[in-house]
Amino acid sequence: MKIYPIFILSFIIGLSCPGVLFALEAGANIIVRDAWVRAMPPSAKNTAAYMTIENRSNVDIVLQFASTNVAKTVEIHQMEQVGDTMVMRMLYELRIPARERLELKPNSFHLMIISLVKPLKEGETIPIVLFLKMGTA
Amino acid sequence: MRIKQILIISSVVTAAILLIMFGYYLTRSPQRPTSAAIEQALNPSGDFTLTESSGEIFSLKDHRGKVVLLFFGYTSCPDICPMSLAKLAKVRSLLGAMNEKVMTVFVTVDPQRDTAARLKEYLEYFDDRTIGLTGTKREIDKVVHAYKASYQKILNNSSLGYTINHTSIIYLIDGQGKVRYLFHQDDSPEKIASIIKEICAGI
Repeated sequence: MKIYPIFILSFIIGLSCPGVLFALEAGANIIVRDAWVRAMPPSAKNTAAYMTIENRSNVDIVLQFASTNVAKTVEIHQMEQVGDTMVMRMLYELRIPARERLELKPNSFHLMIISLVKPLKEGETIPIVLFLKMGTA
Repeated sequence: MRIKQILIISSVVTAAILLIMFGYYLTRSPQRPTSAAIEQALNPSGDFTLTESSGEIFSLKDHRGKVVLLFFGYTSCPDICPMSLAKLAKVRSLLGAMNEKVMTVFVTVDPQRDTAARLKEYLEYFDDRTIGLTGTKREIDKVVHAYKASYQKILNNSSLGYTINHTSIIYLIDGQGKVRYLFHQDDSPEKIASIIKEICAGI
């Protein structure tokens, strides 16, 4: 099974606006849209990024890693409501099946942006790099 | 023949009227809140003591006559707490003059990381009227327990070191310190505001 990593370079995430449609040069197999980052108080060291990842290819795509230059670490987390408790768990990967889309949104999946190097301002745009792995059909 | 027709028509009309009345009863909103058994069991003393971010002592019983919206959280929370705080800010914007009778209180379940200064700065971002409360773990656990809330500190491989799972209920406490309503994630700001108005009318 041939697996090759794909880099998506600097797709732009608007802090307060719905976001940008971004197409990968290799035939627009993966589209990331409606990306946004939650504005937090200046003293907050962490925040969350949300987006919709559309997999238009015939193979599954797995998000394995992400990074940004405005923070030390980016992790994948999932929020789940269990009764009246919100449970948060870290995931090591996020799978987007072939021909499907995955929404990262509040109370569900998000990218946790951890240890910001500086407070983010409302309206600011930050780059987040997603590292995706493609399987074969 | 005539009598039979009259009987049939009048019973159909009566049934229709009864159905309409029943339908009206079903759709009537909002539900008038009552002190149900669950709410009554929550902190019946109507008092607890913690420390404000200013350093002053906060006792619930010192605030009789005010409607208190209480909930538990922590400042490193990515999702729920910012959303709840934003929701309550919206609720207060819908209350108008009634805001004088309302207090929003946030109790941290992460006193280790949530220093008084951090708490104050975090809450002010959403609404500077929100009171942040902290204390020793024992003091906080006492309040958590009284309101039958819960939280778990989970140590994991995350760079965060640990995360905290916690109940997300917003408690409505009336002017006598009694819990009257429990608001959940899916309750809209409009619903919360209208129930607060009803409770305030009764103060």
